[in-house]
Amino acid sequence: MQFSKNWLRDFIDIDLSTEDICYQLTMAGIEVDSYENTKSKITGNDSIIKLDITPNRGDCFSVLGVARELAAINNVKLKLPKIQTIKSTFKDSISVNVCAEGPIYCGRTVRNFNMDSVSLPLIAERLRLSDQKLIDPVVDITNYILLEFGQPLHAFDRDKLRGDISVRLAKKKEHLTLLDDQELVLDDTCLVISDDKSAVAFAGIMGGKDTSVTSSTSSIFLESAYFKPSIIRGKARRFGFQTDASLRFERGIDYEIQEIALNRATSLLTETVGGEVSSIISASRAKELPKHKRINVDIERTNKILGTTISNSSAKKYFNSLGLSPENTKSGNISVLSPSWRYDINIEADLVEELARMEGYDSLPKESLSPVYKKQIQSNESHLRNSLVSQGFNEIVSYAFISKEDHNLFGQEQKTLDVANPLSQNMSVMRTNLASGLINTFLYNLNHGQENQRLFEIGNTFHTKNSQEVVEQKLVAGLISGRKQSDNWKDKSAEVTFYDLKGAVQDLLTDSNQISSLQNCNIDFLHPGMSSYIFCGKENVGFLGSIHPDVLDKLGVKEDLFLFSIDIEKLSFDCLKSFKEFSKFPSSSRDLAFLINKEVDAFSVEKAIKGSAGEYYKQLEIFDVYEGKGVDDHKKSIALSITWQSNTKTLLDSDIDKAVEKIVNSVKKELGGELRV
Amino acid sequence: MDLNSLKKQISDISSRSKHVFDAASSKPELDDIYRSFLGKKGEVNLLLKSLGSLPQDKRKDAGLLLNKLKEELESLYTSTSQTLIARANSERLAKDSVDVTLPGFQSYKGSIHPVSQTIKEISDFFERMGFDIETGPEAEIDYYNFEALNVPEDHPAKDMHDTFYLSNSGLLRTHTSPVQIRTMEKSEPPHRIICPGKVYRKDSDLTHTPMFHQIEGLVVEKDASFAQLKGLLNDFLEDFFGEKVELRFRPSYFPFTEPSAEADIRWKKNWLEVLGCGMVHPNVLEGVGVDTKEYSGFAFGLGVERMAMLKYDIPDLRAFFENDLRFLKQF
Repeated sequence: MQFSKNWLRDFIDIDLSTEDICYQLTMAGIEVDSYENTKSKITGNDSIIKLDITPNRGDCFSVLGVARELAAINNVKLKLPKIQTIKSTFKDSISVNVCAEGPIYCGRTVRNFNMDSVSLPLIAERLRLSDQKLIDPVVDITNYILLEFGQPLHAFDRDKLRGDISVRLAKKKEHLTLLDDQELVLDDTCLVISDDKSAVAFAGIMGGKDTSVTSSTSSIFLESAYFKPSIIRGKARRFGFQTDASLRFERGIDYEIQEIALNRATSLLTETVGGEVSSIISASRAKELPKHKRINVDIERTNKILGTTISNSSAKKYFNSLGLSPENTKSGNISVLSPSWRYDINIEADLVEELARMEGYDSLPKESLSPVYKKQIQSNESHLRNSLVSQGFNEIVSYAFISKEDHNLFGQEQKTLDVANPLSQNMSVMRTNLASGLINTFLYNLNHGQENQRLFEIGNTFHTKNSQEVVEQKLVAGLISGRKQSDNWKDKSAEVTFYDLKGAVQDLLTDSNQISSLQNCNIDFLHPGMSSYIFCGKENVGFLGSIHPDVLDKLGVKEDLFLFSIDIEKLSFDCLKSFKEFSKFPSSSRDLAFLINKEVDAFSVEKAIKGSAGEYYKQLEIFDVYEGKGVDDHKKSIALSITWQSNTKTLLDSDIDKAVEKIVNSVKKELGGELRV
Repeated sequence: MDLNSLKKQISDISSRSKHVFDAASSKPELDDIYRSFLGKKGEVNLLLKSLGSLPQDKRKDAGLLLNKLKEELESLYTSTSQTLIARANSERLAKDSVDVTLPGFQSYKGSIHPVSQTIKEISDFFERMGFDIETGPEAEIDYYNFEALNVPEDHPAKDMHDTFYLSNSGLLRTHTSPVQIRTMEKSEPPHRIICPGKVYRKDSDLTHTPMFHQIEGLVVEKDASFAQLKGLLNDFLEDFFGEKVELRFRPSYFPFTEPSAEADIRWKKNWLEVLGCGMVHPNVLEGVGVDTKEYSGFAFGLGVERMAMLKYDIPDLRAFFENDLRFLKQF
């Protein structure tokens, strides 16, 4: 809402600078978007003030409303403009009918005026300063009253109205063409103004084209009505627009000023264009009107909530200045009456706010909140974050909505949750995993010259189950590419491999329920021979692998990319419960190498060895895997170092020899492996 | 053998040993030489063994002479050994020197995203004050995002939030306030919680991104007051910015609080809005079954990116989601 500062003088006598006015309004909760000083030939040294009004303060969508607020803040009297009594010279036979949703409707006909006149200079100038286009004297005056009183008016071409006027709900699929040529198909949740034949206006929102005022209009019917906020709310928005009228009606307009506004408009109109004025035709349904509510406010309780010491008498003074007609109650409290222009005064809390506003929020006391002891638990999320950062990963945060194309590449054919009204097609699908965000970030940084990247993200993913049910999972995922070590002047470090990725994941899960096994997976964007699911116990917690070459081609990436993804909620991190004693006796190690078929994996070898290494078995380390010269084509050599240790004695060579013999037998029997001598 | 011949042999060893030890060029060589004199089969041991062939009365003198020779050789060994070590070390020092100004071999520097970092900094303060951290779904339903928060269908307050709707007829939460409702539904007051997380609004320009992060706080206690709300937020902002901040409260409107306020801080001469807050609206508390005669509550909400931009002087909101490593690695 924008208006000229000097316009306020019609309603209040205060001598404040624009800056002071804006400060007062801001601190009273009427946010000032901006103000600008201006020199006008008509209004003198003036300022244009632009307000950003919150939805609860529909009453401030007018110069009168803003003046009323300033009058209360400065404790001065509000002057209402003198409205000349209009002498009606004839009676129009038209009649009006109202309904529950539009309980007040009044109007009158003005005829034989001069449409060629121009608006009065002051009206024209004030409209200009309010950023309103000048249209014709009739429309200008309706706009002027809207700004001045917050009462939207509408002028029909009287000669185009057929029969009487009714305020009614639209019929299903009722058509209406608006002033701006929009063709609407309405339904019975929309309120219309109708003549005997059809709807002539979308009530409280915009007039119809067929009955609109044009340059050839010589007689108008001027409407001033009250429609319930609930019937106007959301209606214009449903068709994708909003008007100055709908903005006010849906927040609620003063339900006691319809006739005053109509008289004010007629008086300005005749002053501008002359003409003859009919008597007012009106209808109302008193039962359907909002009521003035009596609300009790307990000042003691208010003081407790605000931490203030407001006395009953100053509370009454504040309420008086706000037009709330306070009275003492028998119980020593105060009761007020909600005014016709305030829709946000309904319960005690609303009055607590009014008192706080009048005292000034800034001057209300402050009191520190006392801390309460609570045990703090480190979340999985922060544990993972710290662990990855210590491994040199950089955390990213990417948008949770991705493009359909990215989903098709990385979505694993999960049923998606789509955004019904996306900002763009690139943001139309909720991600089902974190791969696309990591890979797009990788590409962005690669294009900015960063070849060595270690990225991770922690975030929610979404898919649907049984068509409606949304499954939201929190994942941690990471990507590595480039060299193992940051570049240096001495050695060129090797490129990262699958095992660097696996090592990172193992490090990440060290303090968790640990990886129990990896099993080949069939995730279509991963390399089938270089990817696996991660199992912790019996639960599949995620996957790791190299991105499929086909996908890399599609993305135009030449570098190998390695990616892991883990479901955070399936992990549990144990903090150290007690120190574990380690053996004071020496350990013994033996190095063994087996020749074994290529397809036997390391996991099976480890399993066979662990199962046969005896009670003193401590650990096993694979230190070499070799294929090639000196080894049969279908075989590989796997060399391991096995360690034994007892907690109670020094082991003898003979103990170890026995264990080695068992291992060799078991590897041979279970896996067909031969000890390499 | 007689004593004289022994003496001659002793003096011969003594004079010879000096040359031989001096000539040693390394520690192992020196050790070999040592053994040739003092080892089991060394010259001195052989002489010791021959003592028996001396007359009884000469044996003691001879023994003394041999012990003296042993001592002499031991000390010669020690001193030569020290010399050799010193020489070897000085050679190593001469050989091994490096250009200390060449760059060191560093590992990759990891970093926590500034949004996560800011959430942690803010959470830490509130955890110290006894707040629990609560989270909830980002794909919400109208009830939790609007209705339970006193925003009825078609209310103009919905215009304050440009909502993304979902194909399952749900929506992406426009604030983290639904977590308040979910928490109050599942547990009894008193409550002290903060709810950090992602929120979504259909808005994208220089100062808006369609996804951003919020932290919402809620206190529901027997005597929760507006004065405590002001005090808490004042303490928090000073903790967060690490210095005195000039703070002002002014009335505002949120459907779920009454009275409602916004707080501005003085930043480079201008007032800058940093958070919204207020006393929890009785409709909200009663909706989740909290007795408003017994309990009152206050709530506040702040934008994480806004706080991070102020604290770290980040000029462009979009930097948070571009994830440029040159940006991320600074945190």
